[in-house]
Amino acid sequence: MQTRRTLEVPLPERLELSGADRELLVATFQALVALRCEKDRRWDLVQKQLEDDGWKVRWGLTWRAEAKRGDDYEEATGATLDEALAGVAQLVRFDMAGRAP
Amino acid sequence: MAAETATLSVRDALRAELDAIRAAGLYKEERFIHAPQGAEIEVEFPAGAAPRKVLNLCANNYLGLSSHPEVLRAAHEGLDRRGYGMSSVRFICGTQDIHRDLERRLTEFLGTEDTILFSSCLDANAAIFEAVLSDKDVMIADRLVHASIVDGMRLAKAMQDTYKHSDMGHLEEKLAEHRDKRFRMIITDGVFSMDGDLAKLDEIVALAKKHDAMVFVDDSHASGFIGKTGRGTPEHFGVTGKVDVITTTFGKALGGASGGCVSGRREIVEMCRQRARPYLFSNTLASVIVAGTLKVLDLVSASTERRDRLEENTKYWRRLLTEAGLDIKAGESPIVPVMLYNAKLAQDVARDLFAEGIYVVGFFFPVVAKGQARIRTQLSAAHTKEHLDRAIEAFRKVGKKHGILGKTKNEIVEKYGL
Repeated sequence: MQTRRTLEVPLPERLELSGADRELLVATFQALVALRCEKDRRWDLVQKQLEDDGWKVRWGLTWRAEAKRGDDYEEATGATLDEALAGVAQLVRFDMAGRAP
Repeated sequence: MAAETATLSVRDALRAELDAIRAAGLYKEERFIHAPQGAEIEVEFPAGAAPRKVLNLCANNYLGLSSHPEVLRAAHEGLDRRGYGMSSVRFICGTQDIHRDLERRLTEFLGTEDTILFSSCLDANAAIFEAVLSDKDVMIADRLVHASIVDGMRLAKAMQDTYKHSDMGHLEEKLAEHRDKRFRMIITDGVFSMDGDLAKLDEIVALAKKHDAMVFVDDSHASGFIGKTGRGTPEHFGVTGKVDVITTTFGKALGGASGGCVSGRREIVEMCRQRARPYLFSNTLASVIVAGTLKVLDLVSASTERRDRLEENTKYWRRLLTEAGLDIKAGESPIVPVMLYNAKLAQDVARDLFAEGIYVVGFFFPVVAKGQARIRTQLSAAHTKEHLDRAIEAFRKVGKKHGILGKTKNEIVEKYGL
């Protein structure tokens, strides 16, 4: 069994990590690992296929927000957390209003 | 065997959901009408009961044309001369001369540049945004627009945003916020179906001009009767020709069968003909409806008598309800909501009115916002003063039984809760 390898990043003194900071760090490292070591690595193949078909492909990491209430569900993505949450808020706002036929 | 198990599991899950809808009192039951649509109809309710003659105060039959003899005759002639179905979408072999005629007549009637027909206004609203806008654009909608507009916006790639209901200050903020977008489209109903209030279309058009935006109006609850000659909210607000896109239905005042259209700037309509999926992938509007709608346009263009009578009926009914001490939403449209706030109260009052021979429906969440339960009454030119006098007597009787006459919102909420 391979020895587990870890990377330690020293944090500046007096820095208190918030929940959002932790979420961001976890996501960043997960993204790094996925990009480099994901099993079967299909994404670069899929990208190439799309480009061969004439698509100009651009990809990147994005924020995703979701809101659930009972059976109601909305999700949105955005380049920033603000954008993702604003997107969800818009969708939810549409659903909160009553709509007569 | 596996497939059978899966099917049973889906059935069980759906049954549980349906039970939950019933338990929440939200289950919708159809009432069977044993007559053509009109001011008085025969209704079988509950299912299996002997049909009863009741006064209809819940149809969108604003001009009373749904069963008008001249419309019926025109539909019959259309059926004889152009057949029952076309078995095709428009662009393959589904366009007849009368489809072109109806598009021209609607363009003339609405004061626009061009028109394209759809099977319904819901289809028109599902089509327009995706066909015309891209991810470089933004749609800014009033928060109370019709459900079909919300669905259409969700299908489009343009950014979605909203402004508070009829709040022009908020709309202007949004227009300024999105000045970097290629196109801005302001989206509103002409008459809002829930409260019956009118969009401030003159102010919206002025803001659109100031901020270089397009204006979209769904005039389904206005075409045929709002405005001095019934051309809809653009006529009412003096902005005919200044609205970029109008969608409307033939399923309400304009004959009441089905069908709808997008009418507006020539290039927008042309783009719909090239890209609108409900136009490209769904059958043509049936010739019989086209023929009937052409006759409806003849009738509403020849005389304002019906829309004038509807206006008189609306004023009269609003006065009667107010004098009876019922809490109504102020306004001028023939949609007159009687506010009850509590969902159970709305259902009880509707049931008691039905027993008195008045057909109305209680609306409550999720059809209207929470705590805004009501009975939506809708007037028709087919109603007579006698009809409305009879209806108000029933409202008085039922209102007295429930102790809501002369009560304010707070008093009703205090007694029944939200």
